[in-house]
Amino acid sequence: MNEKSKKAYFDNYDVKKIKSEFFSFYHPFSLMTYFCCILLLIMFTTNPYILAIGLIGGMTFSFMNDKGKSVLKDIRFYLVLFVLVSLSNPIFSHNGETVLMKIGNVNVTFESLINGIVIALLIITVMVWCKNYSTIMTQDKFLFLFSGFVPKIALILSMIIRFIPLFREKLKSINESQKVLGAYSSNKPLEKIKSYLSTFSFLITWSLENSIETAYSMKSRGYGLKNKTRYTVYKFGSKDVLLIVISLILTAVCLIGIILGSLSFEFYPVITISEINYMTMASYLSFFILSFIPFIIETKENVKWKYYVSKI
Amino acid sequence: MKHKITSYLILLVLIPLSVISGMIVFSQKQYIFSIIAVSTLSVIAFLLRIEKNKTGIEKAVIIAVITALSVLSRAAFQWAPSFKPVMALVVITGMYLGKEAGFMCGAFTALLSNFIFGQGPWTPFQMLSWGIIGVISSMLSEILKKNVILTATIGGFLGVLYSLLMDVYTVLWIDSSFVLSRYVAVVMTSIPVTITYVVSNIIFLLILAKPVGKQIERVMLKYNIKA
Repeated sequence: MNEKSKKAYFDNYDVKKIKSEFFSFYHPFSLMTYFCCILLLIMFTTNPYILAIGLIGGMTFSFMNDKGKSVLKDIRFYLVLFVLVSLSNPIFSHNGETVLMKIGNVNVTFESLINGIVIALLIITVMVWCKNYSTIMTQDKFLFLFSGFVPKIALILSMIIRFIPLFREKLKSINESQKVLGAYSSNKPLEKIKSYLSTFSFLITWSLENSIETAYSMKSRGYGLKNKTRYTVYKFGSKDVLLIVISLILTAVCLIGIILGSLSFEFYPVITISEINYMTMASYLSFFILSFIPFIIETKENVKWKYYVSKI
Repeated sequence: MKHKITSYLILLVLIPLSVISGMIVFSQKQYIFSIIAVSTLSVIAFLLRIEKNKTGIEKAVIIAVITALSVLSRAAFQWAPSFKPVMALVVITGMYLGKEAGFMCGAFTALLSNFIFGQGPWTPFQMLSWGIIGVISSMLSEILKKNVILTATIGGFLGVLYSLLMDVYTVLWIDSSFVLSRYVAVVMTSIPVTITYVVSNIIFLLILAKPVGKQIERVMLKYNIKA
């Protein structure tokens, strides 16, 4: 370990610099349930208010995750996407009664424009939440979920994950030794491709041969035997039960709202929104709480943390 | 036995159930809901079938090696959008290691490389599409092993198939119902991408099919592994 990486290593464990990602410390199963619930509701409704709430919730969440580093860069991309998708919809659908203008034979209608805007909103909201999903549900958590019901396949998956960096390292060292032996020296493209190919073929030979050794070693340690236990880092506690129960209840309220039609939003022939009643209010409120759950948890834990630190 | 029952349960009960409940609950978005639910559930059913079979650890490790190489190759060709040797490697795996290996290689390459390229609602569908490509190429393996040119041609067709499948997904995702004019438009706009898929499949299969296949066969012979 050189000086730089040592410093980085210890910085990670500095009490003052600990990242405040309390939400990611929940059990993978409860996190997965939460993300499934929220993505289910976002992806399959056509209600722009739900989407707007989801977008704001997701943005706050990703802002908390990386402290606004990449959010600004993303927003630019989202804006371009928004304009492209929302303007392209009137070209393909000519339904709707309010004609804004006529281009040749084609009616550009207000309803299809609004529909395009909602589609764009939907795509962006789903992208924001998928990004949050990727930052929270890392490979190891995902693997843990898999190992519960298909242990053999989870083992293959974890081997793949381990092999990727190993092969990358090996590829580097094969490349270097090949360079010393004179590969890549000619400027002809065909020769260069040949060098790349031989490097790749060495990598395949080496990895196949070596991995068989891994297999034998695993076999001798009792792979596939009955009653073999496995080590897990994740503990399923009461807070996880609470998260699952709350997100399932909130989702159920929203789903009932959708079935009863209180969240319906029709575009064609004219835009119609369902009238506001108790069910509508309840659905909006529960979706609002659902999409701000990570924010609530982080804030609560941060306040607690600050309080305890101030006591020291 | 347990896994077999579960996988039949998924195929015969859960998939129709999810489609019906999608029709009732998300009436405006039933198609995209069904396609995501069905592809997720069928990937799970496939995996349960594979889990049930007694795969030897040596073969499992070889599958892991090939899949890791194909994830690595997808990441290595990041500078060339959609020009990737992934599909070629999936076809080779299917050809030489059987349909389970082909399915796993395709599905897991999609799953794991999307941790680099970005996960999304398309992941299950992509897993299923690449997995199906692996299964198809294992079904044709007897013919494909004899002739490299034929392998490359079939690889090109599989590239077109993959592109058409993903376009179906795109249309359902944007329109929430299957509009033929939109599908034609999407297919038209994705022609350059399709051509890239086809060309990359042909090139990589011509280059890789024989040497990689030979190496896999050698290792399988040496350590007495059955396909």
